[in-house]
Amino acid sequence: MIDIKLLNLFIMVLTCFITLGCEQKSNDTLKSGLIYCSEGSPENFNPQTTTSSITIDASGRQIYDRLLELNPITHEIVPSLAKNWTSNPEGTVYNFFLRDDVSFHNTQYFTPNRNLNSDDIIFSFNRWRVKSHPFHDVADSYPYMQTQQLNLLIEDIIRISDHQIQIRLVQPSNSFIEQLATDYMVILSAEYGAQLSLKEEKQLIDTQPVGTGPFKFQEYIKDQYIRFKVHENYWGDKPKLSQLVYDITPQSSTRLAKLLSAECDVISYPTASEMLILQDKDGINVQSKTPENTSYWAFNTLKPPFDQKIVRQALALAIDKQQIYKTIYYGTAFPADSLLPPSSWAYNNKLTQYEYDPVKAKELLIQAGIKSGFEMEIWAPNIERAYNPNAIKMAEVIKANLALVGISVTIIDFEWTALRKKLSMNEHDSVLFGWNADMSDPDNYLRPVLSCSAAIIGINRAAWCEPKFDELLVNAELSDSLEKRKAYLIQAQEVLNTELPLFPIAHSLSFIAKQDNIHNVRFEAFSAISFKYAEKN
Amino acid sequence: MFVYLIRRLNLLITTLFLISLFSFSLGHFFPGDPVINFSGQQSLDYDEYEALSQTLGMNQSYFEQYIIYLRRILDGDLGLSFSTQTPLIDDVIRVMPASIELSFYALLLTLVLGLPLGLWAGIKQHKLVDKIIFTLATMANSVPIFWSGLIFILIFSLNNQIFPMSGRLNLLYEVPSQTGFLLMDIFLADMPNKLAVYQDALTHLVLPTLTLAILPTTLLIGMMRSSVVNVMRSPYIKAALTKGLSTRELISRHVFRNAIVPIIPQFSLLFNILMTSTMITEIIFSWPGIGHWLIEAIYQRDYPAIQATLLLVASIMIMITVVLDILHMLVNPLARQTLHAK
Repeated sequence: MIDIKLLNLFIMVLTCFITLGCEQKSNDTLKSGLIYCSEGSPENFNPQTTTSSITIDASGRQIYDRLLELNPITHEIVPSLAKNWTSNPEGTVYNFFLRDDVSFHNTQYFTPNRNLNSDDIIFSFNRWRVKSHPFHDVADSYPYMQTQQLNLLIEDIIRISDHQIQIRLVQPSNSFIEQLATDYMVILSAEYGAQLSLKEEKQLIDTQPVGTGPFKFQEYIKDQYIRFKVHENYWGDKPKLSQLVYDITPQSSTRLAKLLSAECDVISYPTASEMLILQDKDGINVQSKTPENTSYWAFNTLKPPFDQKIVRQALALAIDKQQIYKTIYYGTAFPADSLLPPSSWAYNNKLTQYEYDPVKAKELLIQAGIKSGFEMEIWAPNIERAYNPNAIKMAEVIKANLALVGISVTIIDFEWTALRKKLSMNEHDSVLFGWNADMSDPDNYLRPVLSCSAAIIGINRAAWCEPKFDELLVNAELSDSLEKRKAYLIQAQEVLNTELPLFPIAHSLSFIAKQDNIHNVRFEAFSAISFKYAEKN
Repeated sequence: MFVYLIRRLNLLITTLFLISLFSFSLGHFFPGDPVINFSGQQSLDYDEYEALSQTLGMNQSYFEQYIIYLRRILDGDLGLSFSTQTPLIDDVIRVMPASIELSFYALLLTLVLGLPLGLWAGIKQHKLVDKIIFTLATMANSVPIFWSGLIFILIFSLNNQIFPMSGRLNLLYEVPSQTGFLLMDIFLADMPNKLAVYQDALTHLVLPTLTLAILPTTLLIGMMRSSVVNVMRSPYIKAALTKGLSTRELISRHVFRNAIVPIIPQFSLLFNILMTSTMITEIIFSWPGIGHWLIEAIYQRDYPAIQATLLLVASIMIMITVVLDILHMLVNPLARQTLHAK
């Protein structure tokens, strides 16, 4: 009996060694596939329906194409699905000429019978633009387009021919062409839509996506992985990868470990504290993205006492930002005084600073009738964001700061999707959140974050609606010269600085880290991550 | 024997009753609306809410609500997950095999290592071998599993890339899930270079299995050792020795069998430890099983999922304990005797 057991043991050990020896042998499946360890689970696979960068990273540049693209280096708008475009001198009528060689994904759930034509563009745009569109009500809201009021800007979209469409605007817009290149302006398949309507399974359009992009969707298991396969008939340069897998790994330290053990080819957002390890490591390199983002501490202005300006100001004065830059960002962020980063042309550099001053903070709190021992909550996501590598730790620093002025803080950490859902119900006291810009236009920072329309659809984390502020934004939009526009935007930032619905904290550099044999991963400002050109060798 | 069965069954039912009662009360204790907590349905309009509230018996007494709850559970309706809005039972069926697979291999390893080592140590009581085994076992027993798991990762994954540290398989290999048991699925799958896939799966298994097996193995060594020591002292061993049996025959005929029977009921302790350790191991090695799933559910404040996991895991544990007890009674005549003497 013992002998048999011992034999088993021996075999067991032997198998271990055999597997060891053979592990080095690689094969095609491994060579032509890439594993990207991402930080969270997407809500669905359609950027139209969200502003969550996890969802956009998972779908925006992988599954879909847009009419136009932004050249990441020159920041020029270049053709994509539209070969070229013309506009009338007033800038209110645009004609787009489409490519005729663009095929949609052939997946387990959909087989396309035709190439891309004008119907698909109209279908995709009308989905968020027209309330009577059969797919409009499938998503709760289209937060980006609604806050940018693109649905109001476009008067009509007309089909001129199979491969020409005309978009008419209500008024000229400086940013319209640039908007078309943002992650949100994806083109869906009208034919797939019709098929789903027929089957009465409309909701599948966002969870089982079909697009024209370099990769097609294969499989998604929440909290585990997303699998994409190459789109064989892609109209542009054929992607070098045959398979792309997102390995969902919320813990940053685990992502780092998996990169070091070569289980991930690319990892998202290593935290600032981990950069030191990565820089010294052979075989690994780091790519960074300019700080086109803002992390902020938003107060729920619907909830007393945070509805009082003076309370919000007092809380801001009680925070030692320098400590945050040191302990959370390790010097990889720039201080934020405004929601706009200093690189923006509309940045207001004359704002009064909220310098760390606990004594004054305490005075203001007493003035507002807040007694020592006041309790409040800070909500924070439990994952890294481009603008905030460690929101929970930041919440702890703030908690310690506030303890000095007699406020006791409870930190509540949430998983990302759950947090976004909860926030839209406005039950929070305050939250550590942030914004990634989608285009260089300053409006992109202000309107989606703090406008009244953002408050209505539940993505304004301060639940703040100030007509004066919105009016300034509209005036800026309508002004004919850059000078006037800048003047309005500077005023708008002043309003924010005194009202302080949110307290800007930092503009952070963000990073991805990858193995040395991976090349050409596009990780750039104003765009979601893209593996279209990625190579492994 | 019949009386005994009835008694065990009684224990089983009472405990299950208490667990279900506790699980039921969680629906009311968790923050939020009990209708939503029980059903998991989050986007309800007024009519749907009313209808659901009616089916769940929310306006009736707690007793009737409990009966309705039980009926739903027995029908396999655990409600919907808050985060995915899909039936929880599907999720459980998806993640359970991964946990069972891991625990099974760990248990196998425990038996393969624990029984012979315990036997050896018991026979050579107070000799050098015994001391070495006992010392090693005590040391391994005192090491917390999350620490040993991380040390394994540090040595075998980070410093030397010998074994992978996460998951069940390199994600680039696409194995369709048919049974949920990976090695079986690979066997059934229609794919090229299966051998490479098997190797990959096995290398993924090594570290979690080792980590998971440490604690139960040390316990089993201890149990087996003391049981063997007891047996070795008994008169029939002396008799067998004087009859002139070789050590080998003695061990295989008398010692092993007689030593293993009394420790069968203690196996349920092994299962207990295995179950809790599985959860920790799954987190350390990102193993997509029920423990990993539960922790995600806790992060996402997914109350129906927490409630369902609690109910399922606790019920499974109880059932294993009772089944082992009964099994012990069937194979151990001595235990039956004690029972009759009462």
